[in-house]
Amino acid sequence: MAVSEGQHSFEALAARRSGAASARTDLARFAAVGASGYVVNLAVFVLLERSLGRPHALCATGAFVAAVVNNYVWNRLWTFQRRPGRLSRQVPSFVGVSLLGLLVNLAVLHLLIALGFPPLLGQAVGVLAAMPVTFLGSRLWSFPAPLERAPVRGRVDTAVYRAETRLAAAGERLARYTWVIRWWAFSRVLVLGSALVVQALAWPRASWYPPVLEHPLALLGAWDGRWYRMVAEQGYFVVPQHQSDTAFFPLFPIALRLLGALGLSLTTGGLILANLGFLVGLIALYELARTWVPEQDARRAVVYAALFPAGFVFSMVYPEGIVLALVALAGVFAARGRWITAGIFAALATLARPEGVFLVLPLAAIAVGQWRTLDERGRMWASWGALAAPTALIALCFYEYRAVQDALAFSHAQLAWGRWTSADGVVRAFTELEHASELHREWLYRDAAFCAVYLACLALALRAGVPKSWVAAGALIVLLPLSSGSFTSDARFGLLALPVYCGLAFAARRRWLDVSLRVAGAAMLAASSATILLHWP
Amino acid sequence: MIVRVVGRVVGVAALTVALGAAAYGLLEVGVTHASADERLVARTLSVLQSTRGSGAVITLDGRRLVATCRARHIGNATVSLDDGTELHLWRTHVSRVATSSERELLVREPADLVSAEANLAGSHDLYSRELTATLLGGHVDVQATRLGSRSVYALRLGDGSPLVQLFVERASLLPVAARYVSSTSSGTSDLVAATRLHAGGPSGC
Repeated sequence: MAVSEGQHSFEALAARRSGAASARTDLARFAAVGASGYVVNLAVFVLLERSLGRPHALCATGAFVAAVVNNYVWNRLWTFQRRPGRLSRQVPSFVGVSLLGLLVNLAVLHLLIALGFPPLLGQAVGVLAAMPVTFLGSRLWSFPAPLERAPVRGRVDTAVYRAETRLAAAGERLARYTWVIRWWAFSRVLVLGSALVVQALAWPRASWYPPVLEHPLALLGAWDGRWYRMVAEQGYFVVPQHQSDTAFFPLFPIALRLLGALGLSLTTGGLILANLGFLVGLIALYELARTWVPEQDARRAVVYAALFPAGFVFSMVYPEGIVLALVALAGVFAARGRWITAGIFAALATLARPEGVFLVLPLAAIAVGQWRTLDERGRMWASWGALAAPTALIALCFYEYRAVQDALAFSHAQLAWGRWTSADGVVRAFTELEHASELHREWLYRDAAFCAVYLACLALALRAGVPKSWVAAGALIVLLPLSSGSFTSDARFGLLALPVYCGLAFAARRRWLDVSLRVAGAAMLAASSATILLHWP
Repeated sequence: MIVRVVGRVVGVAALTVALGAAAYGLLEVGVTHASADERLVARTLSVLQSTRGSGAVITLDGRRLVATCRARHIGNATVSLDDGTELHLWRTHVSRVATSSERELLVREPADLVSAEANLAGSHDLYSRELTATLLGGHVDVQATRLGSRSVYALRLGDGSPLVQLFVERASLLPVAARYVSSTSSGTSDLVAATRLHAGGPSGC
């Protein structure tokens, strides 16, 4: 049936008005529910603090959980009643949105207090600042509209509706990654849960642990976490003939300092950064792996990365989580020809971990592959992007020379840990492995076993069709540390060799093998998380 | 063609330098810098670790003692006082292995007497270990002062309780004196000139 211009305009106007009115109603109801959540939060906090006498942090956590439950129930039953959905999808996303809102709230609160505002006013403004984030997140992600809206043309009536239109695409993209978020959440529950359990049991060294209620997850701040916190607090400093913090790359401590400025402790900030970085890393790994292998293999690669037994490191106060994200994002953007973004991510990855510098290989290969299709300007940016990682390393050398008068301080510092790079380093590594039991270094067997697994997976990745440049970068990440004379920590280093996960996915195409790997991976991840205190990763 | 290629190379070089400068700037702004005092302590540590002491002339609670020290193994030394007392240093731990007859006559010996004697005896290895702990513990305290006619830095060892100070020459950073003050003991020492770690002669500490 033909539709006249007048009829079309009328329908568009009606749709616009209906959409705007719906958004206004939702916003009003959402605000009312938020207010009720605020009351519930305060009430539960007072109840827990006064009647049970629990520590403030625990009371605040309990109050937050109660408020989130209250808000979710009312939003599902009332605010977004026209937008039904499965609980298994809505609950995790709603909790995620609530946590994001809490972060915004805390950030604004601390900023205003730092500027001299009274705390109550700061909290009031913080709550208001978080509201648009939580409202749009809830409306677009947790409670999305069941049917796609008809396109609306012309000027949009309200600010909320306009923002909604802009963010709709982002919301849809986010919804596509819900399965990634589920695997991330599941694997992190295993790691964090194991860490909490061993801390509660004070195993294996009771004297090491602080009280679990005062410092939960202290285990995840152990080992190198102390060094990263030291860099964040004091900067670089070489203590002659002593272990020095110059061995630890600077980006992660810089980020810890920034979060510290928002009022978070360095350990808390590190845990948030590492775990959220890992989530972004998994999503980026999925996008990158899709460019290498078939969709199902890419999905399995992400699942194996989430459940990888050494992957508890992604939840510690270590930079591996964000480096995974930066490396994968550099690859994704380079593959899409967005070289400025790719170069920035590559540089940041190199400032966070030395493994980042190996991005020069795949990025150069991608640039060469795209060369014929690029114009002059594109070629310039592609060359720049490929050189970004080594450029960042050179900048770090300059900085260390100025700060501690040694351009290679990050490498020389390894000497205090008994590692130094030499031509016979690999021989020394195997000699150490041979005498591991006599030297009481049995944990070397773990690292050597992971090294072997990584190499096998890289070979499989090559067969699966992963580009050679990425496999070569992965091999360098796994093998180059051996030139410093030890297998120590190779299990951790290899986590950033992204093709490893695709190799595993290629090997486990059979259903029974896939299920076995998932079950074994989850069990080993929980076990290795529980044994963090026995030996450094 | 050549102009285009040269233009591209120059462009890439300029952009790369800009990226390097941005990365350097990020580090300059983002990473905390060590203080001048911390840097001075680090330089002093280098000096202490490449030299050794051989003893000191101690004035402690009104008594005058001459201390000599010799290394036994790494981190392990013996301090002999001219009153017959012998101390065993193991890293930053000290114990008495022989007591003088004069000491046995004391009615009440200060609880930290051994610690005071060890800190004043001129062991560079002990000073270096204490200074390292001070540095890592964030307790650095440096004062520019004068010792007689000499310009020196007074470096505090430990967290200030008891007060242990090492005086080093401003120019060479070589240790020249030490001071120990607690609620029960107080004393100073003039350190015997230092020798290079790998130089010949009697083994110091």
